[in-house]
Amino acid sequence: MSAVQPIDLPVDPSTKKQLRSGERELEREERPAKRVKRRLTSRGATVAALIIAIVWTIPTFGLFISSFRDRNDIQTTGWWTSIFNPSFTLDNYAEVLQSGNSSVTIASSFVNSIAITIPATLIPLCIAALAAYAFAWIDFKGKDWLFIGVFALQIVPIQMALVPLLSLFSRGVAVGDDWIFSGIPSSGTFSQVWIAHTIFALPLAIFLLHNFVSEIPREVIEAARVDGAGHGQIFFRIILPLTMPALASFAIFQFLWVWNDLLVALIFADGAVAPITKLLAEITGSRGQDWYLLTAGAFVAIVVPLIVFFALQRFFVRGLLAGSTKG
Amino acid sequence: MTASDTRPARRYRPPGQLGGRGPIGGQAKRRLTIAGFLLPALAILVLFVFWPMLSALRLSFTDASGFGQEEFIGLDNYVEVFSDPNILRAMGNTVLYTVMFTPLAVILALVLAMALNSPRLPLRGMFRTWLFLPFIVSLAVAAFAWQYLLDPQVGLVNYWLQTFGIRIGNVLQDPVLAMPTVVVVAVWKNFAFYMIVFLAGLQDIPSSLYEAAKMDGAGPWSRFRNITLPLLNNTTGFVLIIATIAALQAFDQIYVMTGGGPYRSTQTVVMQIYQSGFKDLELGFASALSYVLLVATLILSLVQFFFTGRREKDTA
Repeated sequence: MSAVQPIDLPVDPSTKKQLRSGERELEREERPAKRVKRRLTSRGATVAALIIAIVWTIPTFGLFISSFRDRNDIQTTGWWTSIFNPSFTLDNYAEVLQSGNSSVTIASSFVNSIAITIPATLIPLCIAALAAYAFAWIDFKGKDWLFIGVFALQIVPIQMALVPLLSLFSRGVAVGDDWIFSGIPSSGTFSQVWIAHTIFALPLAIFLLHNFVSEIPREVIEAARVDGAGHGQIFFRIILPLTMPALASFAIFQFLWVWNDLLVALIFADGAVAPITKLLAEITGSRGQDWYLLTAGAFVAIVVPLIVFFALQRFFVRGLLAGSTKG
Repeated sequence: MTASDTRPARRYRPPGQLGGRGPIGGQAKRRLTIAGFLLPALAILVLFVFWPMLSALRLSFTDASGFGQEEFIGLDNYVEVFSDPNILRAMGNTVLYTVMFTPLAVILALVLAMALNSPRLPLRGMFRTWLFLPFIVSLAVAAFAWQYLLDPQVGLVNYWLQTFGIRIGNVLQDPVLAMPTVVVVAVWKNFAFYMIVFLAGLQDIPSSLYEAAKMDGAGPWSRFRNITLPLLNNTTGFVLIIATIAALQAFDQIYVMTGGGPYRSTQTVVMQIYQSGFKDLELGFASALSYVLLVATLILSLVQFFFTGRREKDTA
């Protein structure tokens, strides 16, 4: 999109003629001759792009090929040898789903990942949408300061909030003798992980959605108010439908973030509720040479983000850009 | 015509308030409405962010260890942070990581964004998606994929190097090569995100500027230097900030690939926070280290914020 508007400059007729012939010349050039030239000049760039793309794919591609190879072959020869001499099997996948540590298998950690990711995406999204509307369209005292406060929270690194959060979960909060919050048991429940992901997502989510919600034309909302709609009705009938693209893109982003997270899982998802990233990291550490298990396990972990990405790619890229250009 | 005339207006402008009295009557009902919208977010942020951070600040002045009584020990934890050679090493490693990661990722992202923005490249959409794929893979899985690639027995890298007669053994157990390796993994995974951001910035630059410059006889380097770079100022500033902050928080692939080793050569600040806070249960000390990381992040954000702000004024 160009911000520059063409301007009609006063030009004398002879110059105009020259310009017009120049344009025609350009047009003519644009056709067959230019196309050949373009194809020639693009070849170098294309080859370079292709090489980079291939180099970029090798790590995952090697993993993918290996995950279908016999376990002895994986331990002894490189995956590229099987391209010329293919013999593939699904045994690794069958075995990896059953393997794991003492409290959870890869198959059930995959289910855990889903049980962690979906609420950890929806909870912050709902809360942030409400807050974003209030910050954009409801007037109240101290709003600006509150918004700046939420905005500033974005720079708090997740890593620094982990220690206090863990001690909060284990001790709770009491004022005098009254428990405000009595803590959450550490094992066997997902709520710690959900809360952790929610608070890390909230400041950014509120900020992004606020940008989007505040760009809705004022006339739309004023018209609704004239018709007697309250804030609740405006939010559910107007704001939510209009911000669907932004909500969708943030949801995808948060989904991938939570699914791929390792650090929060290491600290807050103990024992039987561990997600697949944690279990894979554990197996890599303890049985680093079990390539046949890990290659298949890695692909089990990648499948969901791949599906989400390819199904909703359009929203995803838009969401990333919303975060960057408004910042 | 100066470059700034064509800068698209994208500064955030607050929408302002709805005029007049709406049909929502009554002060009490009004308050209830506001509370309904804001309370969930504020309650969660206060209870689970503000309160823990305040209590961490208190903890950082104690010798809290998860067991028994904690005692107030003043600034001892902070003194230890800045005097313990292992912690200083971790800080140095974090700086080293950042100094390698940020320029590498940002320059690669800019170069490839410009290549993908060129109309001469066919199948641009496909290349963009292709390069973007590592970004959606978990860093823990990416770390594993690279570990497999670098394996001395069955890894592709060693196989190739051996055909050239080079033997490097296991780079992850080499105190010099381990750090660059974990940086490469992060660049491999994350640069595409910065590339997409650059692409958006590039697409906002009017192509007429390049055409005009071409007519004036400006070469490719001059066009890059005088059009692309100044007009990408905001984008570059943003990318630098997020890349630097991401680098300060390096953890996942280091945890999986080296565990901080060999000989602490990849032990970063966040690895150290994890080690102190969750393995050694030195909560007080880990809190102090966390606050040092927070202050470092804050300073960096402010510096880069003012830097990009000033540059913006210069070009305006």
